[in-house]
Amino acid sequence: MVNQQALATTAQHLSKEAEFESLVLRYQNSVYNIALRMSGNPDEAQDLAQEAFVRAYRSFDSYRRGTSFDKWLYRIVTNLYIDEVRRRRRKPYIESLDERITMSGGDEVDREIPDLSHSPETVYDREHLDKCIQSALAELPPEFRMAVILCDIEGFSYEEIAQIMGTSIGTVRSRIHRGRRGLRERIAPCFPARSGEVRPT
Amino acid sequence: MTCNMTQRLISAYVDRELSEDERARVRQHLALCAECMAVYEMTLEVKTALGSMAPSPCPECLWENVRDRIEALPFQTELECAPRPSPLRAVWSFARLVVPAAVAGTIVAIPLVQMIFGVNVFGLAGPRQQPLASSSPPRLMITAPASEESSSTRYQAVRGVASGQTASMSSSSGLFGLDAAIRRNDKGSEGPSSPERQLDLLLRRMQDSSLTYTWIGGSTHE
Repeated sequence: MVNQQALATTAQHLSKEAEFESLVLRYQNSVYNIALRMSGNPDEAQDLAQEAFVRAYRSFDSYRRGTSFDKWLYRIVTNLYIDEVRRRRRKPYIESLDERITMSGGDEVDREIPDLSHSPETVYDREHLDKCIQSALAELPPEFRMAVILCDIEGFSYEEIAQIMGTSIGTVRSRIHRGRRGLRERIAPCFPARSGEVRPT
Repeated sequence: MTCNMTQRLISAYVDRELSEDERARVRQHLALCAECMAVYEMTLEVKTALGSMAPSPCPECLWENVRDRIEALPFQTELECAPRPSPLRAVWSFARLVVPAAVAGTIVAIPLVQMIFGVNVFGLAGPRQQPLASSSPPRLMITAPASEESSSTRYQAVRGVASGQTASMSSSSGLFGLDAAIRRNDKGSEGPSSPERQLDLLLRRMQDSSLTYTWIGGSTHE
């Protein structure tokens, strides 16, 4: 005998999974990117992003349809990332330049490293600057780091960040101020021309 | 506005998160202070640099891994989600049905045996025994009537055993008497006549499981 209740529940489960899949595909880049900026390590970022989505799925029933899904999701993301990043502490991502790269087809190739050490453009090289910012971000306390990432990379307002982080707007303002101040000091060497202009306070 | 105060507001100024008043004061100070202006420019630089960081593409396998983990989660049906009755609760619901019936059966059986076979189960009954001594604490007394002619047998229906109330047996005035119940049931007919008729009515009313009938010691002559 076919259990109608079980069939209905299974159908509900499948539609829930389909709905969730579309949301994951929509937000996965952003969630992964925040994880990468928070951890500074691609492997760890992937773990964090996966864990965030699994947690979101588990409490997906508590998400009220019609409300902002991204805020709800980023709240889970924020709580998880801050806790995890603090727990794991900073494990710097070290990648050997001599290590051979495995291609998608399974072939291994040598890494090509252009010698740009004498080029003045190196300083302004996008990649170099990103690494500089990334290492500066890693020096910040996780709460400051997350507030700055949500503001500058994800483009949220202070009010939205306060909702996501579960704090007051005043706390958000303070975290961003102190986070940016830390970044200014650390990134300044990456802008030699600019840093020269900053007069001592 | 001091440099310290201005520099504390510069981030919010860059983010356009200040009130009009604060914004005007910061702008005014920046126009006059090169040092704070340099901090402002550097803050703007940092914000721009962060915002223009090359986004790293998400690994293609992310959703596949998430899906695998979701599918590995225990599948919860609504029935499984419903709170399961605990063993204690099951025992209680069983006892709630059985205990009143057992008590009622016992209470009915004792006077029946006494009346049909003339056996005094307790061996305590006597025509002069007071059913409930006023000095003693209330207690349940079940005694047979001393004799046919002396007994104006009283049945008392005590409601509340099943619902956990404690019935006070020291006074029958406030309790629901079976005599009255019988009279109500037999409207239009004459009142209780013989003990057999009373027992018949009593048995019929016992079908209502919410009522427990207690026969209080027979002798009422005072």
